[in-house]
Amino acid sequence: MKYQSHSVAYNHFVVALLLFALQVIAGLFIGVQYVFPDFFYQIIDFNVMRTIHINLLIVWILIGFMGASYYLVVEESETEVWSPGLANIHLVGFVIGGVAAIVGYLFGWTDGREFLEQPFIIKLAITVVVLAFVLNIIMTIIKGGRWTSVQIVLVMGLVGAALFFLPALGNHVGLYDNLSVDKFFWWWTVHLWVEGVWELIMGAMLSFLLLKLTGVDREVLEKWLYVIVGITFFSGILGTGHHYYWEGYPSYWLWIGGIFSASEPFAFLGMTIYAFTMMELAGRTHPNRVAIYMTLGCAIFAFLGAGVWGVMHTLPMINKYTHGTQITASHGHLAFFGAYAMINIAMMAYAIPAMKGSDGFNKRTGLTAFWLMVIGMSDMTLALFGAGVVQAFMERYNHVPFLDVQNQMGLFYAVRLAGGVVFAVGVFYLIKAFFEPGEKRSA
Amino acid sequence: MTKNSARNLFFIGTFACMVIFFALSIHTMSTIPEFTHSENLTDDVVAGKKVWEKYDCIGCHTLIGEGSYYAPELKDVYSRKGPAFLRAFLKDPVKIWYGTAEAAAGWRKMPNFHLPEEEIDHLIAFFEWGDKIDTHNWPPRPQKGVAQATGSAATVGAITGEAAMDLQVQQGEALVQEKACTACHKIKGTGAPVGPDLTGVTKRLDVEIVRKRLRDPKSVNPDSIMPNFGFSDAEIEVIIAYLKTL
Repeated sequence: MKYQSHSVAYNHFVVALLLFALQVIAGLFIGVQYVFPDFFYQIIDFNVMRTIHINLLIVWILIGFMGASYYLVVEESETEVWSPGLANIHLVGFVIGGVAAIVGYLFGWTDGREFLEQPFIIKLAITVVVLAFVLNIIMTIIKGGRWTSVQIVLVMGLVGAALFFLPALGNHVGLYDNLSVDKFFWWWTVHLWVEGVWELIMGAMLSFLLLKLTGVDREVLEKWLYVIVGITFFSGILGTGHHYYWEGYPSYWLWIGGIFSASEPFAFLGMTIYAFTMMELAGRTHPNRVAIYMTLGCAIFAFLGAGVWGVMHTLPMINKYTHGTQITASHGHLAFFGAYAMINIAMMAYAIPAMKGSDGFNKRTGLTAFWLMVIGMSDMTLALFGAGVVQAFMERYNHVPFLDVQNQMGLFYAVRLAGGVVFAVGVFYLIKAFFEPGEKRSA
Repeated sequence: MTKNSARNLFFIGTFACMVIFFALSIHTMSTIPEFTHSENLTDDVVAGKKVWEKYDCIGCHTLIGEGSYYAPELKDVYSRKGPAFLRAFLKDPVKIWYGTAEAAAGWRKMPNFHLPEEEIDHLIAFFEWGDKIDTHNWPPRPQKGVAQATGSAATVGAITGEAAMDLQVQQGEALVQEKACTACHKIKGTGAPVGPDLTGVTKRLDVEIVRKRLRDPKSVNPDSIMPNFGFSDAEIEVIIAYLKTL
């Protein structure tokens, strides 16, 4: 390894991948419950495993971000991590907190607010862990003394993520007794993370990958990075309003939320054009095909999942019928996978061979993983989308009771489960590729 | 455009959007009492929200459209089902919805959380308060059943004899649907077994008894848990006309 502290990034990647595998297993579990509702009924009920599924998602994405940030910052700053010891300690702290939360859910220890189910003590632990991480990243950049734009945008994203986690603590100190107040600030964390600051983190990582994979001039890349994150915040901050249509707030949110959130896809479209143009400009092919596939795949599926699948139901007159249906589940799956799972995987696919030479990340297995995951996720997205259209039309528009509609949609959920199985096999191949030597010696 | 101008535009744009967002947030908070009737936010309602969180209800249900899509939306469950149904259902979901565990096999169903009486009270208080939040009429629900039935009959023109009977039955059926009687009663196999089966009820009971029960459920049986819906005499007659057809 060129830098000793790259091992810090490696440790994070290993943990992130294992949690990703667990997330997919939890997903399969509830996917089975959709098709066979008696599966583990009254033993491990749907709500328990669903909570575990979405919590593992957040934890592995964040740990992936952390590992990728350490790798990126070391490369960009051309220096070792400020404190590798602190990095490993906060990784262990995060894992302990995460495992305690997951085990707690199995025994009903929960705060019962979607995505933010972690009990107060765990939330405090997460806050400490994240602050230690952000401190370590900033100190490393200061030590290196090279404030590149990629690093500035990354740090803004990380600091923003830490800041917007704070409203999540409000329910524990009695600020959110009113449901509408609760929901208002719940979105400050949930929306401003995934449709705000996380996009900065993603944009910084995408730019870093394009720099490394294409060798295009840094000035050009960084200019467009600012343009893209500019569009992200211009549309995303006031776009929060698209969650405020029906929750007990004034009707101006229907206008503001509708108009600004409808512009959110432009940020993702920008990233897609950005990635493909830079690849084209480079005019030569980087030998790491897996990293290129994952990077371009991220650009495409972030645009489709977060951009197109989001804008479809963001206008109030459509959202009135689609809100709270499987359309949201369809959008959620493709958006999280395309934008945040794939950028993490792309960073791993680039970083592992770069730090371990030919020992890391098998290309052939990696490409198999790419296609299996893409096919599996596309299947799930389309199946849930079909279910969502039927649900919106029958339940919201024609007022047929919820279960009367759901009980006739078994086929959609069976098809979704099949996609989930394909996706899980893809994740198995991803882990296999991660630990396999880069090139097979024989054959 | 140079890199520096792109960067400046990013910082200025972000700052401006943040300022507008915070200003609107402050204004929205000032309207919360009006939109959510926070004067009705009693200790019971707050305790009900805690019960809602304690059992991770949002892990299956949606509440104002957010949650898990596995179980029904509960924003308006209080007005759709009423407190008597909710109380009976929360005590034994499978029995109320499907009748028996065998009938429920293979179908989606709520687990029995064995909620203490007090938690059920709080939860129902929470739903009753949440039902009144002004959500710009979300979720979309049908117009009142009777109005629909009368409206369609009006287009038919003058109504006499058999047609008038049909209209009464139609109106009665619409009213039975609107008041969600099957939330507690079975009608031709659908509905919950909280109260007596209504199929053929006018043949089992004297019509006058049915009429009295509809006017005031407790007048016949003081222990009845059926709510008084405050039906007018005309409404009672159309319901009976419909029940006679079952």
